[in-house]
Amino acid sequence: MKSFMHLVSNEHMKIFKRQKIWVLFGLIAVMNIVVSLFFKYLFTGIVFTFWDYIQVSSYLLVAVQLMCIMIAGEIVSSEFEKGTIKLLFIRPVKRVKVLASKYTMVLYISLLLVAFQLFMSVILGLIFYAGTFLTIDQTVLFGLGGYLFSFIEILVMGTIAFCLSAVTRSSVFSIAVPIFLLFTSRAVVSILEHNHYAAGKYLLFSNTNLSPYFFGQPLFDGMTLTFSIINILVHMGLLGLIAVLFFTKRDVHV
Amino acid sequence: MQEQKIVLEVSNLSKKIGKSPIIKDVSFQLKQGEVLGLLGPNGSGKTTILKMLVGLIKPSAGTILIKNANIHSEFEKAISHVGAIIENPILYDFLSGYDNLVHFFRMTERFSYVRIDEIIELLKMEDYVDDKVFTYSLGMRQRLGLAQALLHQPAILLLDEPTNGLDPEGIISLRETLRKLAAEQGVSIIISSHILSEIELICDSVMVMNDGVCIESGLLSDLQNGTTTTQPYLFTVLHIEVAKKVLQDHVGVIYHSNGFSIDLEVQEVAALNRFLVTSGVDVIGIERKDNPLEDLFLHKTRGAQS
Repeated sequence: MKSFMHLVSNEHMKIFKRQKIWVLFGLIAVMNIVVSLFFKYLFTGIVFTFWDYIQVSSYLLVAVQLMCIMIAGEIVSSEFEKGTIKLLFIRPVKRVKVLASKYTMVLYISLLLVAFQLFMSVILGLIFYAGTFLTIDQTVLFGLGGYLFSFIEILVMGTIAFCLSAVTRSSVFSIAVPIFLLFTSRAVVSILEHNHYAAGKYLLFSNTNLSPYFFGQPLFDGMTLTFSIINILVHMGLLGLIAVLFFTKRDVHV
Repeated sequence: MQEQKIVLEVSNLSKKIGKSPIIKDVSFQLKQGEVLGLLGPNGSGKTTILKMLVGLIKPSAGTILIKNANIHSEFEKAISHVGAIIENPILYDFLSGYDNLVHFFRMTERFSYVRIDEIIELLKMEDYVDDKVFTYSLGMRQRLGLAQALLHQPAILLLDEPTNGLDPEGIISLRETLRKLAAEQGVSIIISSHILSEIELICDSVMVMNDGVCIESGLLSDLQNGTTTTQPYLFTVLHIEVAKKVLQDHVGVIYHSNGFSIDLEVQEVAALNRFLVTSGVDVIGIERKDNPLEDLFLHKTRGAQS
């Protein structure tokens, strides 16, 4: 366990000693400030409360999702592209442990970025709408629910990017494909839904958004919260398995 | 005399990629404190062998035992005895040299900051260890790579072309460091190279590779003595025309613009020199043309091609 923590701190060092991560934090901050000013001074006709603002700000998580895809899609393959994977593989550590430490880091970074986004919107919300902070009604659930469900979608996309990164060993591919999926999956799912194509409910992307179970109607007949959670877990498990198989078995020629 | 312990045993190692064989049935042993030179032209399979020794590439057949632990079934146990630089020392450019050492050392059980400071002192890297690696010269990178390989005090050190990009001074200091490690700490070392003269000065024994096959192996001293007694000598003379006339009857003479070369035994060199001088040829220099290892190497690799 101690050795696993050492691996995770190595990954932590490799991410936080580079500028990129700080640029991402900066971007999130700037994005939130711009959006909050927009809402405060451009939409003057509508009355916003603190919790309305939190819900609106949760849409910014799409940007956070892109950032997580970038990090997850690169964390394994960049080691191959630079050849540094050799440093990791000629140490007395099982390859699967190296992979696990990297996935742990992906989860940690995703959580950190989402938490920072929430933190920024709470701060700005308090600055502009402090008076309505204690108005507890349905919008509290909408706001926090938006964050929770988006976080799940972020983890799913991060896992896909991570798996591609371990399998293809190419950063460009592992970042581009999840982004493509991000923008097309919703269209595909809604086409299937429109045509009442029942088998569509088994598709991963029909299940990744859990919010309809709380704030609306499921996409297809016969879908339940449990069904969706199991569907997500099965997909994640398969992706993990594929990543482990490819990562541990193949020769390293770089 | 006590027999030296065998730390690495490679038997019948083969590797195929697709259908084409890259390494064919290579076997060798490495004793404690031995320095083995792995020789061969580019593409002869040196790096592939080293990669198999550290488990980066899985052999198609054969076994590798490191201190009696199989590199595949007992990977962690076996690899903990090995320190290696495979190809150029590849490092994290965006980290400092110190962070690179921390990163590498954390992956072993024996992590300690004291040992890191020790190795920095040993390799005299104090001046630049806190700089980011992308500012390093090739020589500094080589040294940092060596530091990483030595951190966990391995019993076996594998170095792939360690002299690449080093200046003469760097090569001498590397040579001294390696000799010291082998003699004082009993570290066994494998060095691959295609620069024969460099290996000759470091190694106890050599293994010559060509096209994935080991074509010659043994103690360096044996190989050097074992080569044919005649060696090529280069005679430099003042007036080549005079020499040509005098040497008409000799066979195997190759003329150059200011001299000639000929394969001779040591005694014959003296005799020929005396003959030339008495015949009125002004000899201004005699030198042995190349080192025996180079000769052996070319001879063997050419032989394998024809």
